[in-house]
Amino acid sequence: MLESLLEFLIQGVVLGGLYALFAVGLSLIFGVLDVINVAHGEFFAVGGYLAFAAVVLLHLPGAAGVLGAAVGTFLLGLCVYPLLIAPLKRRLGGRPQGPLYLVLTLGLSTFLQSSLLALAGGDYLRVPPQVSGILDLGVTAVSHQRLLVLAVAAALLTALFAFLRFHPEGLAVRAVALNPDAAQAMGINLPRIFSLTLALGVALAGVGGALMAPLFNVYPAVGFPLTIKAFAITILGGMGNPVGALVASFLISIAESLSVMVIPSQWQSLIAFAVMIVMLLVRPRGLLGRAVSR
Amino acid sequence: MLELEGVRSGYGKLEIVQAASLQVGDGAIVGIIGPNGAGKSTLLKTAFGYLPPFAGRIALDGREIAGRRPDEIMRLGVGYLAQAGGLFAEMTVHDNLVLGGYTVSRADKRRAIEAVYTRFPLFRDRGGQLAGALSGGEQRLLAIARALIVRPRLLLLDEPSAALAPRFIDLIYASLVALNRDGLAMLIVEQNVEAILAVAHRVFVLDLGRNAFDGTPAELRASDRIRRLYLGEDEAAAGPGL
Amino acid sequence: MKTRARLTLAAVGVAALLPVLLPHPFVLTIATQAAIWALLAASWDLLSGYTGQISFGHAGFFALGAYGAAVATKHADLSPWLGLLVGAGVAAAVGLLTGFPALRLRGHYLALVTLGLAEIIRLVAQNWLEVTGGPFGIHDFRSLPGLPAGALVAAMYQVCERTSAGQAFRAIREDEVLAQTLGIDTTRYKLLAFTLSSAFAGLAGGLYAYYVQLVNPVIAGAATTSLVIGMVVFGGLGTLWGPVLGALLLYGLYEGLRFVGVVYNLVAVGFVIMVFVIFFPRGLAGLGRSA
Repeated sequence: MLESLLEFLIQGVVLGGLYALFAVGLSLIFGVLDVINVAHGEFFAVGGYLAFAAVVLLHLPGAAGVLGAAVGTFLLGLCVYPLLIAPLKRRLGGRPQGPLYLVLTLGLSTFLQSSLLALAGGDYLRVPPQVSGILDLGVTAVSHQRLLVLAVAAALLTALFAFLRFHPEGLAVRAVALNPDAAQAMGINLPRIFSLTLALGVALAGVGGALMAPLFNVYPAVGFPLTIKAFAITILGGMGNPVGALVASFLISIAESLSVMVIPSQWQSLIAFAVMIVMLLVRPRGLLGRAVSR
Repeated sequence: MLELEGVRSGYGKLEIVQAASLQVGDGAIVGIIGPNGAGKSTLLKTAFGYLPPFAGRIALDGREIAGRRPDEIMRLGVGYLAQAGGLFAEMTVHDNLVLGGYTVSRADKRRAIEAVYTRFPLFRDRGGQLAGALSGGEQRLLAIARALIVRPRLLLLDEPSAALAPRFIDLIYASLVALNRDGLAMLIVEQNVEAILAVAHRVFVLDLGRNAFDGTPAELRASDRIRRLYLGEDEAAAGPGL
Repeated sequence: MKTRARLTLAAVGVAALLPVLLPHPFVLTIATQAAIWALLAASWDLLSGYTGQISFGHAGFFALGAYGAAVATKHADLSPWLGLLVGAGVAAAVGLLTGFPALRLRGHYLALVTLGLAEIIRLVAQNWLEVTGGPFGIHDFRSLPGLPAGALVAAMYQVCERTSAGQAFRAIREDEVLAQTLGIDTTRYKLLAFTLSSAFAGLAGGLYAYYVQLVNPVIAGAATTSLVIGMVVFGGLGTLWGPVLGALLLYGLYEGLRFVGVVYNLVAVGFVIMVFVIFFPRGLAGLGRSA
């Protein structure tokens, strides 16, 4: 009993790395821009396609695929604020209209997903793992690929949190999330920070997509189920709170993993949604809340 | 230095400032007073770029700045102190100061923050505390100290005495006067008429979004009408925090 | 405005008559499905456009109606008309239940809750093999012509524009606090909106099931949500006839593009959503009307 508990715990932790990469970016984007990015999963998919292009089409090493995915999704992400969000903001004139931005990003999600379908076709593309082999922990076995995801997630997220905590630009990002008016009075260029944050957030998803490509295969809709789950995770942790998203990622991934012991595995995802609905009804600000309520 | 002419502005379709004009000379302290809802804060926000003017001219040193973003105007040497919530309450005192120096080099920033700590030891002691944990007066002082890090030439202050104990009001205004002696110009929106009349070189009265009067504090006090309408019936008996 | 409304209803009428005039099976298919989507879009508008409770989960009510109807005829051997009522009933019940917690949520939180609900419905549809047939869904049940959809839309229009309930809905959207002070029982009307909206969505689902003869978990998914929201944004939120027009046109575009190549049609939908949300917030209904 204890053995299987440990086994599922470990699997849960490993899965949590992926969720964290995805959810932290989503939460950061909401915290700074006040926009829920329904299209987040499509950047995950784009990351997978870029990795495929680099490794399978251009015969570059696996690391190049990951790097290419990061850079490519970052650049694509830079376009979103000036082309889509800023015009809507201009028209709305600062009035809070959350659902409209949701509709906008839903449109982007549909557009991106079906564009991928149009450009690359609907086939499930196979990408070779960046690392091969399996780590035998006795109680359970974890593929090196999955460990790589966890390791990269840990490294990137550590770098991100360090950036937010210590670097002047990171401080500026936090300042914009806390108090955009005061941030401007400090000389912070809001559109630049918005673009940067959004690009950073989706680049994390893109890296996740490249790393998970060998495991999930690459197809246009690969990211969408993750997006919805990430909503649940960020709400649990507190929308707009990246630390909350990090914690909630592991809570959900471990809960899902452990739940296999009591419910059939196809119903795993229900946990996340049930948790989300309960949180929204009982404590919408999530476990850790948002740094400030705007 | 700063010139507003015929400015109209407001929120969305609501026009609050109908036609306001004022001038701030180099190194001068200029006050804006008037009843609630007159558009004083709105005008200040418009001058700093938080609100785009519907019409009118806003010029800094002769250069048109209407329609520019606040961070652009800030880089031209203008500081802005909001009425409330201007600090990053969930960040430390030290980080607030660091953000104050966002636009200057690391060395200048370090020097300026050190100067703040020397002048206000209490901030050095509480550098790691959250800014929101400070008292109202301390927060106001911190906001001013933060704004000074980049050595602005003009400060826009929105009701610096609001919700402060008299002791702190005196302290704040004494600091402002000292800063002004070093050449810092100020445009101050105030409800506390006594406090601003005591230090301003010139005062503009705003009512219903328009200019109602302007002159030196002496000229304002000399006019019976102005005294009755804006300074309180019995001027001599009125206390601070009118 | 009245003229436009009449034009739209005329368009619906033409759509209904078209199959009679041009008895090409393809035209009938398009017209019928467009009418069903128009019903679904109108039902979404009833909730999100009229009372301002933006829902991202209408695909769920649609699916409940579809599955309810299919299961009723296939497993319980009921007539399709009864099946329609079963489907609508299930959807309305869930809608009412959703309406209660929705009272406490605003803006994007409400949107996310409804999205989560739709996902749960999709998951259940995908995994509850005995009842829903799993990923393959249900097929081979009786059929029903899809054209009653047009009549239902007209009925909804009457409700929204003519009755006091409709006026209450709009009052709530404009300024809920004001509506309350005017004595409008906002709670009752918001719940009513949820129930009616999900009932009509369920009816659309049932009609869809009987026409297409296949229900599967996909109909509770993102494509449905995108299409519905796209149609309403395209046509114009809060006007009811706007979404109908938007549905007819967008569905026509969607199917028409299928000729160009199956893969491109949703791209257009996504593009339309983005462009219209940013530049034409009132949709087609707002064009030519002073802001």
